[in-house]
Amino acid sequence: MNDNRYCDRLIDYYNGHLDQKEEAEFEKHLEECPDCQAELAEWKALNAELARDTEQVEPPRGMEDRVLGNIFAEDTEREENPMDERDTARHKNEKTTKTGFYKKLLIPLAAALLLSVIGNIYLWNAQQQTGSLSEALLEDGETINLAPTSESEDMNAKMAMHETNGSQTLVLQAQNFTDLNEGEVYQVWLLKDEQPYRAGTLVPNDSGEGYTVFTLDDAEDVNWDTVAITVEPSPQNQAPQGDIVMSADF
Amino acid sequence: MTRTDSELYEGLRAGDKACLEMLYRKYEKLLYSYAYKMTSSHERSEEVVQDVFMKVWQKKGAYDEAKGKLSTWLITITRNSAIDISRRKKIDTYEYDERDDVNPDRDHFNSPVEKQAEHHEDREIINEAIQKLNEEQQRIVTLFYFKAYSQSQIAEALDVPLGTVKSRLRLALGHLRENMDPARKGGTQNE
Ligand SMILES: [Zn+2]
Repeated sequence: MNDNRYCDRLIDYYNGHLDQKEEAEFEKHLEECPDCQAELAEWKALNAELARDTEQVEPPRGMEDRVLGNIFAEDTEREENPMDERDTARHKNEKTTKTGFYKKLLIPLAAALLLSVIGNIYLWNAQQQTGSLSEALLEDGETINLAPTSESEDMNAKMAMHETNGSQTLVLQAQNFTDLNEGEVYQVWLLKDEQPYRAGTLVPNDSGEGYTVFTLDDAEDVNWDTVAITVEPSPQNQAPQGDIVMSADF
Repeated sequence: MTRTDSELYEGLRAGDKACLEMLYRKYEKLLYSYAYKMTSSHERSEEVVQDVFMKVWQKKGAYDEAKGKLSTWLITITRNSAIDISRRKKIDTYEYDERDDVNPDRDHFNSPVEKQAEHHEDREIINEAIQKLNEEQQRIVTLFYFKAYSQSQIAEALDVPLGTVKSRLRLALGHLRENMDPARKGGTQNE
């Protein structure tokens, strides 16, 4: 038996346009639908052939070292007890992050930094070994704890501002953030004299942890007075419309 | 003697770094080139390739030999990663794009995968097999495979009813398959 309602979602499934719930529903359908299974397998096979036919591009110099280096370095981070005494940065890092919380953040954080503006990547790499990113976050700026607006919430968020080459980078880490409705996002705002400035979108993972790294490139001299997190109906909002869930004054 | 993909995969699953390195060297260029086709960005392509091998090494998702070649599996992971990374990037950099944008609704549907691919479209060498298709079919294949459009985005872009997208796609892919098979016969049997 197949249900066309679901079969019609195959394109959106393959191209990553379903939200988490829809995707889970579709995967259930997929297990039971030989038509969709066959079509998906054919799409993947054909795509692989197209990929093999694609014009070859030379990978950048040093990519292998960087990629494998990062993979194996993260491996070490993931181990419970890295004993390499020569790696002083990491060793020190171990001492300052007792809870392991920041260690867990290293993975998404490294990804976030890669995603941020290219200039930042080189800047960060130049300043810090990737293994001590969390250390940089904690020690390099003043950490501010945000408080939940509602007493009943046990959400946690910490942030720090970093001055780098005339621009400010906001780093924010969140814990215990609840799932939002479809389309909604957590949005970080910086405020000066009640004027809001968008400072990144926060997407918590399944365990409610999230992070954002946001560079404010034309606001280097602003002394912000408040940081706030709202729930917005759309990531495109230029001004906050949703409720403030957490905030802190500088 | 070189090891087969299956042997390399087994080795790396057991934690043998050398196996991951060998697999990496074997597929770096292929996956990088493909990621570049999807993202049109060298930086993002490197990020995608790293993400792929990170997932392989950290055993997120398992390869099943019964389901096809390892390289096909790697290409599928690469594709998903390119889509994810491009869309996530879009959120992170929204501030910059939005300032110059008069029509944010339109832009919402225009992730970097799509935007950049469009940018490079005329310079891009399209796969030979795709070039043999008629214009609409070329377009649907490109939108579907390389821009990862949704069904409704494809309908909008081609100005056709939503309900006809899948059948049009099937037809185009059927022709594409016919165009590819002769080439495949001359290709290598075992990778
Ligand atoms: Zn189906």
